[in-house]
Amino acid sequence: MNENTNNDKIVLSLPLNSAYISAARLTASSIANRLGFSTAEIEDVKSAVSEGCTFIIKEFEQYREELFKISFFTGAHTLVVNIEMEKPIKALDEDNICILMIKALMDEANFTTKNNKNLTITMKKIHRETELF
Amino acid sequence: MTENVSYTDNKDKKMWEASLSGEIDIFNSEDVKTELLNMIAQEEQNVCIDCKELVYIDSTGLSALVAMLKKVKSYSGDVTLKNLRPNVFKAIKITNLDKLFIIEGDADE
Repeated sequence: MNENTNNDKIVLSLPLNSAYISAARLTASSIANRLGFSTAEIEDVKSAVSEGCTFIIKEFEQYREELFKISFFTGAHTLVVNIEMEKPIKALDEDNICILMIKALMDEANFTTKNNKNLTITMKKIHRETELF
Repeated sequence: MTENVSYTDNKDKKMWEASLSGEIDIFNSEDVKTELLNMIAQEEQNVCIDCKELVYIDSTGLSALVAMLKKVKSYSGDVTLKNLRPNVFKAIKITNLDKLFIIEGDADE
């Protein structure tokens, strides 16, 4: 069976608990693999999603009981990931190592806050590489 | 104790021979850091870490390595990382840590 995987949305809701970051990584690599991304591209997506979750968990650690949301949007040659937390945030430190790594690993990365009341990390990976066997 | 770190004291080479394994992230990086710092607290000598079985490391894991590196540098020692998988090498490269650690072995991408 070869189902079309374009334009799908997959949503994962996780507690602010570091024990579940591996679940986010597994989901990210599984989706990127399904879209035909190369091994290196899959690793980039996996790491960037993990860094996004790490950033959220550290930044909002006082809200341990709350959930944050990871949404994956699939395209023909792209994967867009949104990581959102709907709680007030202090000023965003653009020099944070998690942010720097996400920017280095993905083709696009944006960090937006709405009136300092929530944070959305949006990242995009474009499938370019062909696996050599 | 964490299952992600193991080490032996190579008395001939006067070096800690350590290995990292599995996935190191925010969940276990503090344990990894404690284990590495405990290791060098026993004997101030160079460190060589085999990363052949290290599948994944995130920024908090890299911070654990840097914490150990700072201590080792304080007694003029070196830390070598060898047999890095491509994704682990990339994490080290994009954070410019390849300039601080001695890198040996694979890291072919």
